[in-house]
Amino acid sequence: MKKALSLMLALFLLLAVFAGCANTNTPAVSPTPSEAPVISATPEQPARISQIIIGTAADLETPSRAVYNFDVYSGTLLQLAPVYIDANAEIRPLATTFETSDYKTWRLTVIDGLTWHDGTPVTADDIKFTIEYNALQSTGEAQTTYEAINVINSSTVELVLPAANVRHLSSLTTLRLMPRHIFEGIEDYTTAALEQQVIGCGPYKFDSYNADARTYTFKAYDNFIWGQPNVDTVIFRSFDSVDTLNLALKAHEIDMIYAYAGGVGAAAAEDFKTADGITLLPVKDSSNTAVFVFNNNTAPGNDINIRKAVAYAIDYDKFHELFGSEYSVHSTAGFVPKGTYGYIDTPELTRDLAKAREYLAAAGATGTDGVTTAQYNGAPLSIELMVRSDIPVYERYAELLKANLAEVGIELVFNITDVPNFREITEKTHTNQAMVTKFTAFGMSMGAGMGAGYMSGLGSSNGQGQIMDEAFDGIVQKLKSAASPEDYLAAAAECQRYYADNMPAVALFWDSYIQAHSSELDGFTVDGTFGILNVNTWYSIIKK
Amino acid sequence: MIQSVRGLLSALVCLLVIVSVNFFLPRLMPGDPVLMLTGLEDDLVSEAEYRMYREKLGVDDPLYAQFGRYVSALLRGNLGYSYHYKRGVGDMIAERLSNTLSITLPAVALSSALAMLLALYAGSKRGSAADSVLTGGAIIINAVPGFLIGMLIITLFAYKLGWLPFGGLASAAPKNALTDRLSHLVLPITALSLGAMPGKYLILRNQTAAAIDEKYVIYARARGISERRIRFCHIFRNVSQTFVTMIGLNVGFVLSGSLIAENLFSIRGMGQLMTASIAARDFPTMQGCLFVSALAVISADIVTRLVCIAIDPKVRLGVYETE
Repeated sequence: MKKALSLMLALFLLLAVFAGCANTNTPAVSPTPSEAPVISATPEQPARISQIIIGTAADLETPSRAVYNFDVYSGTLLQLAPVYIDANAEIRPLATTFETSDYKTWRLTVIDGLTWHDGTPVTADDIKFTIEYNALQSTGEAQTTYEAINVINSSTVELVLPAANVRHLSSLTTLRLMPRHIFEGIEDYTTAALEQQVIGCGPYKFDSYNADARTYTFKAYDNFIWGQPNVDTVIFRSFDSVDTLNLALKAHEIDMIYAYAGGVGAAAAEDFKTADGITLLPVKDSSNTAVFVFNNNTAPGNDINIRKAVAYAIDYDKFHELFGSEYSVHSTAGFVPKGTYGYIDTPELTRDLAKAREYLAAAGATGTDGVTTAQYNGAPLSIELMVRSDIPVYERYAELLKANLAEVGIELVFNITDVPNFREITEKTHTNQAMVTKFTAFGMSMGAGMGAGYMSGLGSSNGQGQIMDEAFDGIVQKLKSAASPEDYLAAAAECQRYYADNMPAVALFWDSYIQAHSSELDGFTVDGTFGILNVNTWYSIIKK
Repeated sequence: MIQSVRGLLSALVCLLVIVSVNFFLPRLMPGDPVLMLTGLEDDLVSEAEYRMYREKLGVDDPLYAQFGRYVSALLRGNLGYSYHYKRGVGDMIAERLSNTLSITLPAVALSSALAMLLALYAGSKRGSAADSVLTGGAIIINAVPGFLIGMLIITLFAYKLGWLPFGGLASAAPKNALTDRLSHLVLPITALSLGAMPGKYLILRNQTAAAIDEKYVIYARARGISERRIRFCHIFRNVSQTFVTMIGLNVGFVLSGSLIAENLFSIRGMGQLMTASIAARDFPTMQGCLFVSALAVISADIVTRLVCIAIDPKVRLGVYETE
């Protein structure tokens, strides 16, 4: 028996040792900046922070420009977009300054001294190359089509649009510039070597990917034109379980939690409030946190009375109470969240079952007392609601919507679907009747802005609202061709009034992203695209 | 002998069926097999690209020719190429398999050893306080969902006590790779062991409790043989077949069954790869994972049969067959 036990123990240890040797660290692609001079703390300058560990629930795969999460995180450290959107939705210069006289021709000038991490200067040619290169990749992402891209000199490029667009620069806030001298001749950037994939022009250089630790490590780039950032090393660490991630923050094993276009959940935020050394920071969310979107081109969502009945049957107070954080606010009929450029006040959405029944009666529906399913066009009034299975809270939204609508006799039937099928339906077949989802701030601002890209059925393939109405298309064209900010604001107001009058989609509530971080950290800068993690934060963050 | 040959033949048939299902599934499902196998979007792929992939995958050849190529590639250890991950499926599985095995094999060994020791002790002390405590404890643990066991362990050892890390298989910059790796393995192995132990314990304990009244045990006691020797050399030998079969099943399913532990402890293992490939509809990876899992289950079954034959003279000498 002793022999058997000894054998088992030996086997266990052998396996453990074997596992210990199987370290799959990707070697560092650049020397660590250990030779870099350390700037000592002065009363004016806070002490440098040696390392920050950022926990995330997103998966971290082998780094590549094609890997979504790497691309997002690199946008906050490694890359420098031409421009960024600040907390007040204003476009600000970043890698380039910009000027335009007619909103049709945009002149971008690379800021003096900006270099790639291999020391080569960033040029106007790189910008032109990036735009042309992206257009050739079959990424499926909407690409801006330019009438011409003219390189004026080594640092200035002129982008000529087919028509004036006052908001054009917002589409450049996530443009990851590509070094022409590296990628020229590489047909498919996903096949480029790791060293080529991770080169950038931001304040941090990519250091390593550790598959076992599930981390990306970035080190400060000593020669960045703004000088050294306040943090030497930034590590992103992935957790598959959100519960474990939250516990890790409470135990201070990580310094903060980050989710692109998101924050910690309301329940977790409550828990963090009572935890030691954690600060919650609400960031104004200009995305549409939770939306009920009709397919406006399919029955029964193509009936305005049905849409309005649904809008009046929803219990917004309950949504606010059950799912919103303490910073959440009631949504309005204009659909576009507060904080969006061009927002106007429209009536706040409230529940009114009597009005809902009136609209159902106007639609010809009978039996709307909620005892049984109402009859509409000779059949039970049933709406199939598509719900993504990967985000559990959507199913909870759906359950509450079902209970709300049942009170006026509308039956909601769930179609719980995986992400590929969701995309197939929302981007190609459009066979759904309605869906519950979220529209990110960046998504809302794409194309014409005002969420029109998501709502129009005549524009991009991702027109989830499938509005085919010529009146709406006319508004979209006005937004797209606005020749001045005044024109754009007028069209934006018209768009929101259209939403309020026609209810093609309903915003269930609006909220703030709640960011949770160690109380030792302070001085985060808020960015309209990336939230509290962005290039500017690395120069404002301090350790108390 | 005949049993061994029968076992091997049935295992081979099973493997053949799985390989066939694996091959035919994406080809017989509605939709274009080229898009299915490559994961490409039909409105994004150009005509030239589509033709290139169609030729590369050989989907215009007769099915038997494609099947022949598929089997021949499998025999060469080529599990295909994932167009989603842009990597060889075999490479990805090899990478993930080592992570999964590093937590599951020790967990199988540890849970089996613990189950054996405790079950033989509790069974031989049938009705005692120790038996009640151990059996009651095993029933309670068996009733607790795996993820809850994992969360409790993390909360206690990582969060409250701070003794061990929250997850992953390594630190970003470990000072000592070996101790760092071992410290990361402790919690997932403990969670998996606790989950796998009660089933084996309860079966072995009941068999032991029934065996203590057998004549061979009474006779052994009368011969003055020590209780420990009776437990391990006499009783265990007679009741071990079911136990060995359960360990075999454990080994077979560890490849896919560790998903909860992988998720809680953020380990990039086979379970995670399977889930991700299903979510992404990455058929080549799904097929590779299914093949490797099936191979593991079948191999474990064969080994279990052989071990049972070796430890049971009745099987070895063909007593059952003559009966």
